[in-house]
Amino acid sequence: MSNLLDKASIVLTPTAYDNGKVLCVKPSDGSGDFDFSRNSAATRVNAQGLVEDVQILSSNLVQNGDFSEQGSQLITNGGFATDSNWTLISGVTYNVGGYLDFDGSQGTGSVTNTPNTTFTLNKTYKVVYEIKNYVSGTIKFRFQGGSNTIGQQQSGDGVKTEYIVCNDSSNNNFNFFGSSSFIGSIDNVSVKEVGQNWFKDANWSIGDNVATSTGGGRMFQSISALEGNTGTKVKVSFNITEVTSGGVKVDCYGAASSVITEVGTHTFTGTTTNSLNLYINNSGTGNLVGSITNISVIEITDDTNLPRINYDGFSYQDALGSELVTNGDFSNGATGWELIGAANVANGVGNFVGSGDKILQRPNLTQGKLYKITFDILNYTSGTSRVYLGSTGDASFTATGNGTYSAILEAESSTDVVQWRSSGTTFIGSIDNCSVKEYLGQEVVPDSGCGSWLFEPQSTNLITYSEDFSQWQRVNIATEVSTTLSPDGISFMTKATFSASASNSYIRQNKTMAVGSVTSSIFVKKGNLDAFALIRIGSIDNPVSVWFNLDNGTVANSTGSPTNTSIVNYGNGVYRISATTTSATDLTLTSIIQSSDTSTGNPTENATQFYWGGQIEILPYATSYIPTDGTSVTRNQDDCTNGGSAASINSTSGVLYAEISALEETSELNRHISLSSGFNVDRLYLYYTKSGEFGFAAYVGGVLQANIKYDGIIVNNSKVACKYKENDYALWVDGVEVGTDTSAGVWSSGTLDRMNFANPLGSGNNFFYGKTKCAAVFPLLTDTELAELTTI
Amino acid sequence: MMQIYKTNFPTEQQGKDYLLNLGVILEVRGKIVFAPTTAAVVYIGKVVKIPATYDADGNILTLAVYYDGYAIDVMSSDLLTFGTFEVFPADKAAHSFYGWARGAEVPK
Repeated sequence: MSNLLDKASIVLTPTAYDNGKVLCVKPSDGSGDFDFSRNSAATRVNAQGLVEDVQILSSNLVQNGDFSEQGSQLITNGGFATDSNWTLISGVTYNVGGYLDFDGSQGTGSVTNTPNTTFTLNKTYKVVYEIKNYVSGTIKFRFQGGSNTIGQQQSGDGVKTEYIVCNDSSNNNFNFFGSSSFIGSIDNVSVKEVGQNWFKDANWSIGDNVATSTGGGRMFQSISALEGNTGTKVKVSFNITEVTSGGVKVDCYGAASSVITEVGTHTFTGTTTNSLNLYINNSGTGNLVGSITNISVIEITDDTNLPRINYDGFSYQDALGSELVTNGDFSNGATGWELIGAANVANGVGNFVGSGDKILQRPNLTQGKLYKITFDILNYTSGTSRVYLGSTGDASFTATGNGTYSAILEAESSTDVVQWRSSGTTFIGSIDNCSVKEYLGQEVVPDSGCGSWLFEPQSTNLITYSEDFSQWQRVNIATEVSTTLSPDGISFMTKATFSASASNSYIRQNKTMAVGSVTSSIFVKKGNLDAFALIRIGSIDNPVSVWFNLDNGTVANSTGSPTNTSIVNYGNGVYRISATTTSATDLTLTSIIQSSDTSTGNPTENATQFYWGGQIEILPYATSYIPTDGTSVTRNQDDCTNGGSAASINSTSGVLYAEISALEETSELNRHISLSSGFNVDRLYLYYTKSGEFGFAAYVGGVLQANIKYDGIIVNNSKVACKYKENDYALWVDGVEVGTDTSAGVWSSGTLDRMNFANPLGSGNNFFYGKTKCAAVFPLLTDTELAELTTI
Repeated sequence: MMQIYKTNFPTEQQGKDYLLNLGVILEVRGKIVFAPTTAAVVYIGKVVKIPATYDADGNILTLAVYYDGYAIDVMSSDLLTFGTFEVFPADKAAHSFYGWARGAEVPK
């Protein structure tokens, strides 16, 4: 193939473009480059698998805009795995189970841990600790030194979480104190800084993934990419989650919003005018009593003729959380492990030597979440090993013989334990490399997809708020912006919680229009319970319902006669689902998105699902996502023409080659990729048609010379070569010569001078809509070369 | 230089006829196509003035109220004259082109 490409005079692959130009690999001097226009923005799937507006030039420039980042652990031995690092007082002792016991005789003294760094004035810290074996009294913590920073009185078993702002730069110790009546145990103490990258006045605090203001005062951060670059066009988004009074004004280097007082996601674009900072309520403007989160700033361009290189065919891998097992490779002996029976740790492995042996750890698990457990068996002698995620009776899996084993299990109970033990016959052998990580789903392997030029028809998203589901009609559903990233990697999906198991639980858009085909699509992610998402298009003469299985990425069921359905994996458990139906009459279209665990359409009560990017368009298939925010929005058609020249297209013999897939099996109008003189009288063109055919045809001086048809579909990627020579025309598809014509003329030298992804005029109704991985023009090739060129 | 025009005609047919007469769209072998200078024509149809209302179960309580006429948006590199059919909803427009401001119609 590489040698063949050396022969080509025009080679177009998805590699480079400018605004208004699709750039060829050959010729490399620019003489073969195509003109491109669309005159609108558009989205594509980029190499990382993210839905991206091609006008966006940068990733999110805001650091920690969702206030989720946490600093390093400041407490050493907060899990009490060893009897060290804490300064104890009378009445407080280390328990061999790995926690601290308070017996009620400790008085008001302090149990102290010296943090790994001095606490910083006005910084916010997340303090977490667990009370166990609670009997009576209360306990509290403080950052000690100078003017102490003091936490709340806590009591009762459970994990206690507090966000607290350091109020003195002299704070240099962490301790539990002044809790003379407390009888119980303390475990899993953690202190981490939150709100990194932000500078804030004292009235701002950060916690639970939001920044909260109690009135005047500002918060700001510096964005290096915008320093000294005034005149940069930016798109700024933020989410106001709570307003008691006042509002929010965001000022991004001079590009500023008005004072906004409504809860919800807000977006504005502007041009930077100074070199200051990204401010939230600079000088106290806004005087907010409330909370804000998900702040993003993205550099954008005004260019509207940017071609799209779209990626698909990705590989996927497990998306996992951080390691929850301590010392899983036993390199630090038995540290972190509990050994039951005769189980022991030696030579860097955990050993099972007899009946009743167990080796376990107590990671912090969350009931209902999935975890991936991996471990090795070595020195296998007999029996079966079983791993429980939780107590006996909870989810488990078994393993027998030497090897590496893994499984994804759901934490079915609130018991924070993972235990290795025997199953049936006593397991005699060793375990090593034990790992437990939260399983977050399958994520796209970056750069694993294949790129292609994406040319689409004009389409309008009729939904006026494609990402703001609070604007949709909702019945038995509560919606809120979640912390689950959407497929654009910037904004967040909406979490819908179904409050009833009734069949009339839905989220809906109503549209009145006259249509032939209508397609409804949306990005969906499974929530806590129900595996199915449902698109229902009703109140028309051809109503349809289509169920999609979000566990395995398949179309599960349908009623009515949908003319098209699809489910596409976007990674991290997110699928774009679509359903198409037709109507011959004016209609009121109702599109419903509904969760269901069966084919009935009834959700489980309190079940959740995540939504983003709803789209309704008058086409027989779903096109690339078109975001909307208050209006219906149109993406114009892609127009790619005028590639090549008479110098790079031989008119008397040659090969037009394309590796393409069409967007639909049949087109209402013929779709062309053509070589021509710029007029219909002299042209050679590859086409697909309304009747589901594709092929190629040639006109010389307005007289049809050849029309070789192939009865196949072209929606899957195909390699097609059209050979032309006087009395020697042939069509090759995927390595096979599928048709010939031995009585056909050709053009005089210099006649064919352009290549269009359209008819020779580059206008009208024959634009090619599809994906193009390669298009090329060759001199005449042999059959052997054509077979090689077109073999998949 | 692309221009965005927002129009409102008494009926859909009157709108299409006007666009044909103006050369914004062409009839080629029985098919309506864009003129070479036309980037987009969007048949918006009726524009909602007052949205419908629904009860808690999703049943319609009051029907939507629509503005009179049939709306069509046009993007063209030509300087076009739509006379009294041209409208200027600005930031209250029901439709916009992706990547263009909501009130991007001419005159600015």
